Amino acid sequence: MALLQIAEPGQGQAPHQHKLAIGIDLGTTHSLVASIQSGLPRVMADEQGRVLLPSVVHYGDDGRVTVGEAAKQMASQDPLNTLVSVKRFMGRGAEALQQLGDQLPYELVQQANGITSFRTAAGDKTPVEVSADILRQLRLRAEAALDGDITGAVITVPAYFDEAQRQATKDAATIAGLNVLRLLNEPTAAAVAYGLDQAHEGVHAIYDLGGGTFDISILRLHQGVFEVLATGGNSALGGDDFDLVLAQWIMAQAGITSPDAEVQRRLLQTARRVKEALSERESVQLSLAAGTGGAPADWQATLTREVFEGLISPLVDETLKACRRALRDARLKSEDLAEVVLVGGSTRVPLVRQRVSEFFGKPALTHLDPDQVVAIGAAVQANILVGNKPDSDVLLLDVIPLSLGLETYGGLVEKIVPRNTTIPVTRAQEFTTFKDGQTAMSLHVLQGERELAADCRSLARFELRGIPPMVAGAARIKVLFQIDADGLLSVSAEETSSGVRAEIEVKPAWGLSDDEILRLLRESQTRAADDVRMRLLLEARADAESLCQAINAALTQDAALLTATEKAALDEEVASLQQAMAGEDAAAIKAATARVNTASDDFAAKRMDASIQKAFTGKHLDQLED
Amino acid sequence: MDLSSNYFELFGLPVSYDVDVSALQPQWRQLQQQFHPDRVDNQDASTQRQAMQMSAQINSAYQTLKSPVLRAAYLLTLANEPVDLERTTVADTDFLMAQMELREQLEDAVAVDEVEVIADEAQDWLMNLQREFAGDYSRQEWPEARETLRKMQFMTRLLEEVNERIEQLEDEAG
Repeated sequence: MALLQIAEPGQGQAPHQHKLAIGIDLGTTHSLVASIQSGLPRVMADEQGRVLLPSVVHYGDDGRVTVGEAAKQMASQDPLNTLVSVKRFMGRGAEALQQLGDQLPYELVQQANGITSFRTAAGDKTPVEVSADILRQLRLRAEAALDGDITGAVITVPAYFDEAQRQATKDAATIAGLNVLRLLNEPTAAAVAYGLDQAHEGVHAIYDLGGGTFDISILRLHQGVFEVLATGGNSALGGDDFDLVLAQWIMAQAGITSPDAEVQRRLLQTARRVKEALSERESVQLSLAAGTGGAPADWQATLTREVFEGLISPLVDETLKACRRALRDARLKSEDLAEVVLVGGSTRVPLVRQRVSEFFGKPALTHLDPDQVVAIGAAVQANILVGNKPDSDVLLLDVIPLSLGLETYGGLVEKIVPRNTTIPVTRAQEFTTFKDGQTAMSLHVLQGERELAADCRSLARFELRGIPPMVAGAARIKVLFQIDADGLLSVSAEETSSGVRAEIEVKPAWGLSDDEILRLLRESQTRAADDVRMRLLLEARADAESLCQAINAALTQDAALLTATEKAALDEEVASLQQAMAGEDAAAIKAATARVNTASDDFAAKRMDASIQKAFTGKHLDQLED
Repeated sequence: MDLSSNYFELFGLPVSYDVDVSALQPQWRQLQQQFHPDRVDNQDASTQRQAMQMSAQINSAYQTLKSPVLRAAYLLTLANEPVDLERTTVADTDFLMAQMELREQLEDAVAVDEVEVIADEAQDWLMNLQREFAGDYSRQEWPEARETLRKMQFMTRLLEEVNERIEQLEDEAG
């Protein structure tokens, strides 16, 4: 193996004294992991060379957890145990569910503590646990590729994610055994990746339409500082919704009335393929057999891009509304923007590109891969946060997407920290008692822009007790909101004349309690042995794969150097290695790799001789002595 | 400079209402480059906590100093003449009448450009009040300063409503 990869002198990999840090884009439809290697961003691939890991997890009745492409394959035959788009449920209840018919594509269970779980063959799974399984897979991939332990990770979240959704993401990462350096907003991560690429100063808009979420961020880049001026969006709007309206259209046209879970999955998969095809073509032929989901007859139709655009146009309008508001919040007009950057796979849809360009009055930039740019930005930030780049002047100053406040008398909301406030931040507000002799006060923490508490997101409730009895209005209760650089909130209250205190880390009602996280963490530690085995397997596969590639490349070039018998012998060893790779026994793969190495030694030697001879041919002696 | 510095000291400014708002931004950026949690050892919890507090303080200072109302309220707090902006009201009936009139115009407005005329008027008014406050403050006329600040708060609220109205009209127009 070593002999087959003939490196130029001085170009070998020098050992780096740096810590391993990764950036993870945990997406609705797919996830990625990237790292900075020798100063360059590298998005890590699986052994088949695929960088996108489908955010799909299958739970088998033997307790077996399958993540990614293999799980996606099982989606239509075993829909109830194959969880897709779980990001939509993070920090959310059943209301996040998109459905095509009366029947849910999953079996949901409402647990006693208010958490919504999916009922699977391997037991009930919360969205946090499912996300943790995706993150664990990415961690293993990174460890195999980087050959070491990961010091820390930056995980990206939609900028418009609220408190509960952020906390859920952080919990999932903890359970997956990751040290979270920072939760980073996706558009900000994308800006970092673009900023690196071209060091453009000025104000930029990042339009990020992913599988399940939409973000718009307006940010100013100046001397390495990325200052987010305003952000907006919708954490439940994305390309999945394009698929949904398209699937609904197909259902209506074909007369499908009662799709079961399997038909729903197939409809959504078809819709997705049709959407993708219509990004390239003007029309697509569709057909459906009679009986599918109650369809009365065979159905055939031509769907044009124009009809598709009519279906998704209202959704695109929604995103532009958010853009308008973000510009207003930033006190800017579209003329003030230097650039508009498109991020997220759904910005491949031509109508999205066209409408965004029209809205901002300038062509949108797309030259970095919209699927990879967020993970790359996260990797850059992770690399800085672990201290690998002490001279870097990159600094990200982000904002909170939604206002934070307290419920006051009459069910109204008093905003304490307005949206688009730069974080970290602390804000204090004084309240008082409204009854004589009142000794306790109940505090209800809310997030959102609406006036009424009932219309905002309830984040937490806690009580301040032991207030000394005083006349109404005499007590001075100072409530302190602290938001850290991850956008996570803690709230404390203190009666200032007596010093009575109460404090709460905001753990939303439907989030996991610390005990549950500990339990899951312990469970995941007992799975650490599995993790090690999995990592060895992935490493062995990766080594084997690159050996096979090297041999293939060598054979393409120099097969003539081998006799027929030698060639056959080598082919046989390669075939047995490929067989071993399909299995899950790391030791067997290693052994087969070693055999291929031995079998290819002679070939390598012959190639070396041949390349030296070639180098000498036609050259004079004096040139050789240089 | 530390956590006990007042906002003006933090930004290296004299304690005064007259602040060059455009100069705050570069100064803020520079302070964050120095004190932000991302700029210190990420593995050390206590260093991180201190940096978080310092960075939050710098952000609060920046928000306060650049806002005409918050800056004025902060100055009165420093002068030991605090105003509770949530719970007090303006006594000047002429001012209140003029306010009401603007609000009625706002309610009747059906087009963005009509609302923008109101926005301009409110903005001019706020500018005048700021000049008035600077005078009150420098003469240490606290009751007048408090009254002017309350009027500024009214005007700011009105401007917020104006913006919401514009947003609403624009969303309706698509």
